[in-house]
Amino acid sequence: MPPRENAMEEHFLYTLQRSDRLLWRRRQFLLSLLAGAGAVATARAVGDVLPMAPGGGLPSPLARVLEEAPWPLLEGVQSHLLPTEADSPGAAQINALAYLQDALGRDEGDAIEDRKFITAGAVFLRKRIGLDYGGRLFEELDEEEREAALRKMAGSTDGANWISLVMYYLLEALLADPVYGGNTGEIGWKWLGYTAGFPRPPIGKRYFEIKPA
Amino acid sequence: MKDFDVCVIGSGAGGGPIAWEAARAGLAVVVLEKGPWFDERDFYKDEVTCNHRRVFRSDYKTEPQVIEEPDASGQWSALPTSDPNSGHDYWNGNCVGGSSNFMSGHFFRMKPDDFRLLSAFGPIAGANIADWPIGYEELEPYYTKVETEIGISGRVVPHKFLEPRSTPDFPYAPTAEHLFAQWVDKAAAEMGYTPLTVARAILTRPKAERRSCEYSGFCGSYGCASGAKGSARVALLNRAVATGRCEIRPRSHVYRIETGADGRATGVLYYDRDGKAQRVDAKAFVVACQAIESSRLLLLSSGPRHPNGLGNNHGQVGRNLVFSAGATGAGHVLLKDYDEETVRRMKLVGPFVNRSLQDFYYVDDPALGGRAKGGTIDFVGNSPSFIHRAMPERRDENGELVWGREFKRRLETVFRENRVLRFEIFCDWLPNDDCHVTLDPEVKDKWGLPVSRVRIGHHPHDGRVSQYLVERARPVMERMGFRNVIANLNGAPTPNLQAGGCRFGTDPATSVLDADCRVHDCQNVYVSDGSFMPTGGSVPFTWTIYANAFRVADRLIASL
Repeated sequence: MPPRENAMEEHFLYTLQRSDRLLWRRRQFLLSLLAGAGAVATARAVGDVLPMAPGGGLPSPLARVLEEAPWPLLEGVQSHLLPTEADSPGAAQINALAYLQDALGRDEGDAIEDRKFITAGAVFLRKRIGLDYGGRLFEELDEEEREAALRKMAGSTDGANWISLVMYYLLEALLADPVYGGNTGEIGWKWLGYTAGFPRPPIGKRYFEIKPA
Repeated sequence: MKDFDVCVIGSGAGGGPIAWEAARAGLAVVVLEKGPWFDERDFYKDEVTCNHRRVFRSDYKTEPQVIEEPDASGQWSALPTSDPNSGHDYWNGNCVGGSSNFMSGHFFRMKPDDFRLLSAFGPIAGANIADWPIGYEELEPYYTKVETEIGISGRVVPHKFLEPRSTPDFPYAPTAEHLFAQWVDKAAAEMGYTPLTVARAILTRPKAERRSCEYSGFCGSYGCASGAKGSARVALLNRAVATGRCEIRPRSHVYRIETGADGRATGVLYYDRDGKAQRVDAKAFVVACQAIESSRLLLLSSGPRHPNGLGNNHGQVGRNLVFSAGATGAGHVLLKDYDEETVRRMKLVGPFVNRSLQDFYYVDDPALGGRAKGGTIDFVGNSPSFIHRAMPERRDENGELVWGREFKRRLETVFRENRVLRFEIFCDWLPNDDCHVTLDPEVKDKWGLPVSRVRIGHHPHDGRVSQYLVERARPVMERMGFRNVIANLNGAPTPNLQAGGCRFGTDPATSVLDADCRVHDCQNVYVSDGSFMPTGGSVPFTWTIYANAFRVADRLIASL
């Protein structure tokens, strides 16, 4: 039973439900989808091994993210989901990859679950493509093959959830205040005719920086 | 010697009036608030912070709630919000001022028959409808007081169901209005209805330290940077602190109200920001944690005379939780069908729509079984938050994922080619045996305390009334020219509009609080948030919560 979306004017965001970011309520990802040895390899890649940060000491969340996920694949997926066109921005113009890395590198809220889920999905997709396309990488596929691979991914509940979450972060990179590193030069806002409110968030008051009494 | 005269637990619309009135009366007040203390320096029009992160709400993982919903087979199925597969929770504003910081402030009074729903409309099988122990006339002076103390802007429009007022009009003129307000006026008048100006808890001229509305276009779900929005923090608590007699302790999580051998409360225990247990004593205590958590605190507070939780000797605490029933709907127009000036005015960001219809607040129609309670149709502008609005475009009409160029064309249609008007239906959420709060037997929060277990069953009658009102809203939308008018009726609760759980009444066997909102068998504990409401009316609750809290403040102060 999905919750009633709104309660008052402009207020519905306030009751925005986390599940709306996914298509379905579950995100169990995947291990069951991969038979045999692949499952073991996936589990390992998902985060059993924590790399050391440069200079030693405990790894920062961001360093962990950078180490864990297959970023070239994710960059390719982002560009396929939000392609660049002559008069409208795509993933590359909105700095989507760096935005995603930064968002998932915050040890708070949904970022922790999302990091695991996006990483697991990316590792799964890499393996799936390896099996389906003779050991090639997503980045090496042509557009038609990429489309086919993602459509196949979308055929499962978990896969559809994964794509939907990757798209969610694309929307943040497209439409969040540029202070977060996406939406370069307000390119997303200009494209879709967004009127910013005021005051706008300055550096020092982003969601991970607000430190009240 | 007690530490304080009055200890208020929770600082939102239920707690704020108590703190202000008690401090103003010369009493020593402490407010214990679980969340931090944000102010205007923390409020920006930042969709990510306000809507997609947990900055202003409790963490659903470390402070879970357990939600019981019907599964596919109709059986109750429970899932803690900490489970990755859980989709929602009932936390709202977790900070000084509570969720009143983030409301959109659509303010409505309840009407006289809302106070006597059982007497006026009779029983409905399966619903625990009860009359209030007070009438509208007892609350009316407090509704009026809220207009000036909080600051409500609006315009009284005479109509057949207008509630009696002791003053002719609002102290603040209405906010600036969007073009769509004129459209509603025209369509409604042509159809024989009376379009009403929605009152808003928004200043339209400065009031002391608070500035007037600056029309940034981002109101509900966003903190107000000008101070125009009438949060309990800015409208009441800041003034209470300025008296020098009110101390606010943020990041103080109350986990127990202690009671003595005589059943009276002696003190409260709370965890401070460092997780250390602290104790405060006072002559009187006021619980105002928002309905679900107020019930939970009473249930956690067993004592010698309250073995099953404070005020729970008749098993009533947590029962008859209510939300706001109703529906939401929307339609759109195509910009290309309008001239340049009209398009410019449609695109204007800032002014509000502020129109409602209450022609169907009471109805006499065979479709609803004769004379019956209806509700409110509220017309509202579309959200300014683009990420939220873009999210549904990931699916096509068949629910299939859409991406790539097709996805981008959908975004262009939504944002560049259309303009949307929405409507919301408010009707009574009938209290019933499947909507309640208990303590979960297993799940604990980060302090090791049992969490709320919330069952969210609704009565099928609510859906019939909602449908009835949707069918009356739709032709108004279509008359204005809006296309594809769709509505979403699913019986799900409004997490931000909670009431009940500690209903007030005259019989201790069927209510938790007396008519003054004092716990029946604990003479120095009051509950002043929406928990007291046996029924919630067919409007948002906040004005009523504020008004009643001012009334409770008077009773409490008189008792000390």
